[in-house]
Parts: sequence; C-alpha cells; structure tokens
Amino acid sequence: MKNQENTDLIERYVAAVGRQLPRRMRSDVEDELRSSLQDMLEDRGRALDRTTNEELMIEILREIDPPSKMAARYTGTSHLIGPRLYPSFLQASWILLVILSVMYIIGLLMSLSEIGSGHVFTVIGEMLRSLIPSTLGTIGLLVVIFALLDRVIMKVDKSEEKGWDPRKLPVVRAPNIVRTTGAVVQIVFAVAFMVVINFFPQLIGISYYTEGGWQHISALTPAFSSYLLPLNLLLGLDILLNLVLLRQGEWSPMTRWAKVGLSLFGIAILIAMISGSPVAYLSPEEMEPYAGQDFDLGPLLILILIYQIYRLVRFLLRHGLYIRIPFKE
Amino acid sequence: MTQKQLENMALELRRGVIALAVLSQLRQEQYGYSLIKLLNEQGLEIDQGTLYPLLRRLESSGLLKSEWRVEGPRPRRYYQTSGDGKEALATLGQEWNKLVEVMEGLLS
Repeated sequence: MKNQENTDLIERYVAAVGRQLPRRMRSDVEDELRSSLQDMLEDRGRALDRTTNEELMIEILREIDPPSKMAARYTGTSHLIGPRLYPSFLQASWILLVILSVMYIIGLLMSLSEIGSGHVFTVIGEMLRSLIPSTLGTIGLLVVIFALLDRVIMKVDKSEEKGWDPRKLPVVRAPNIVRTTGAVVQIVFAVAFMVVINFFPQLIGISYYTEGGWQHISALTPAFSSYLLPLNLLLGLDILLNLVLLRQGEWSPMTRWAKVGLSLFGIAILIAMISGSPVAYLSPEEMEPYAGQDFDLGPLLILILIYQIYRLVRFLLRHGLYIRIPFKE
Repeated sequence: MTQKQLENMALELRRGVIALAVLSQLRQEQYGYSLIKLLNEQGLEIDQGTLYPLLRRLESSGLLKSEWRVEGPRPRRYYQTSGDGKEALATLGQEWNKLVEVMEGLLS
C-alpha cells in the first residue's frame, strides 16, 4: 500500500509537469522524469536507511522545482504565452483558422454563384486580400487573450514556488483531471463571444462579395436584446467556472454540478431562442443582393441545441461514477 | 550588492560550464540520475530541472546520443557523447584551459 502511494505521488508530479508541455515532447519527458524520480527515491531510501514512504517522496519533491517551473525549464522561460497555455493556444489557433477557412470557402461559393464563375480569379484575389488581415487580426486577438490569461495563471502559480506542497498535486484519475486545453479554449471562445454580442453584434450576419466589393448584412433582430443579460450571465459564469477548474486542476463534486447547471441554463436559453421570436432573420427583400431567399438562424440554433444536449449527456456519462446525488448522502 | 545578487552571479558563472562538464562525463554512458550523482560527487551540484532540459538540448544539437534500455528495475534513458560531441568537447576543453590560465593571471 505504501509503495502504491509513493508511485501515486510520482505519477501526480509527472502528470502535472506533462500537462504543461507541448505534446511532441510530453511522453518522452514524462518517462524520463518518472524513471529519475524512482531512482532518486530508491537511492535516498538506501542512503538514509529509511523506508521509501510517502513522507520521503514529499521531501524529495520539495527539493525539486514545482511542476510549472519544471515544465518552463523544458520550454524556455522568456515568453509571451507560457508552457502551461501554449498547447491550448496552438489548438485554439488551429480551430480559429479552420473556422475562418470554412467561412471564406462558403463566402467564395456564395460570391461565385452571385457574380458567375467568369470572375473566379477576381473573387479569389479579393478574398485573399481580406483573408490575410482578418486572420492576422484574429490571431493577434487570440495572443492578447492568452497572454492576459497567462499572466493571471502564472501569478497564481508563483505562490506555489515558495515551499510548494507536493501533497496538493492533483490526483491522476482520468475523469477527474481537468483538461487545461479544453478549459482555456472555452474561456477564449466565451470571451470572444461576449465581445461580439456586446460590442460588435452587427458582425452576426452574412458577408458576401459582389462586383461592388464586400457586403455585409447584420442579421440580429431586436428580439436578440432580451437574451443579452442571460447570455452574458451564462458566459461570465462559464469563464469563472473554467478559471476555477484551471486553478484546482481537477473536478470536484461542486464544479461538476456547476457545469451541469450551466449546461442546463444554456440549453434553456437556446430553447427560448428557438421557440420565441427569431433572434436573427433577414427577409427576402433584405437578401435581394444574394439570391433573394430569406435567412433564419433557427436551423443553426437547433443544431447547436442538439450538440449541447449531446455534450451534456457525454459529460454525465464520463463523470457519472463520480457524481454524488446530494439527496442520497 | 545583496546576497541574492551574488548567488545569481555565481549561478551564471556555473551555467556556462555545465554543458562542458556534462559532455566530459558522458564520454562513458550514463543515465540521468547516475549522471547527477556523478557530477555531485565531483563537486558540481546540479538538479534535475537543470540537467534534463540541457541533455535534450545537447542531443538535439547532435552532441549527445541516447537510447532507452531496461537494465535494472526500470527503463532508463542512457546518454553518451556523440562523435560531434567529442570534437566539441576537445575544442571547448582547450578554450576552458586558456580561460583558466587567463583568469588565474587576472585573479592572482
């Protein structure tokens, strides 16, 4: 049992370091750290003629760097976005680039159907001209958000450098461990969505290219304003929950229930949006420049609703063994 | 000058020679922890957080080669100075000897 505890503490340390490393080096570094810590434990036990128990392991871990500092040594310390968030930054950048590419390809097809395939090179040229600054702008915004997050998280981490306590390392149990990447990506998208709905709501709509240049029609209706408060509340609480999860590093019963509560809140807002007055609609007249068909966000909201329900069910199944129903306790 | 500043200067001084020390000791194959012990026994204190990233850097520069092997209770990664590493060691060793000579003259 004691040996199991020792290994457990090593695994917790190794996992805590690994989570903050880029994927390409993670498993290699983890294997080497694990092997070295086991060597160190055995050697110290022999030298001091002590049992290799958890207490000795804690002493050893206290001598070495806390996980965030150890990870930083592998990835370098001079950075705008630190090792803890860099993998998440890369993932978020890829997701954004894919979304932008898909949007531009759809825009390209719409523009071609509008002005004819004879202008294909003009349309592609115009598209590339607007794609480059918008991509750079988006990545720039992402860098700023991640750099700010990094400052907040690293500030928290610095407190553990002075006499850090290995006993507080998160336990390695797959469903319990918070995926840093997932939490950070959710924060970034929640912040971005909040910025758009509060300050640039006109961006939600349709963009297309005609011979006269790029055109954009904002699609939000006045009905959308009644959802601003609940949406801001939902996004704000979601950001707060993800920050707490990043800080704690593992799920607790309270954060699980908070997640379930927020998911249900989000689903309720979606159902209200779908069943109430349209929150985004463009009449055939408004859509005259493009095909003259009306535009309704309803079907997209239904797809989002189905996806949110799927995510909630998946979350409940993944965490089901660990969720304790309060009234049974 | 504070004690902390002095410690930082001593750390900078040591940092420059650690790569040379590692290359010299890896003329014979070692795994990470045995190398730490070897260096510590010879008076060069080095911790895991300094050594392992350095080993990775030296290997990616082609100065070291490594392989995972199971010899004993667990798999370990064994490092050894490569051909390029031995050439670099010879050059850096000469530089070091010159530096020691100059510094002895300056400090005496």
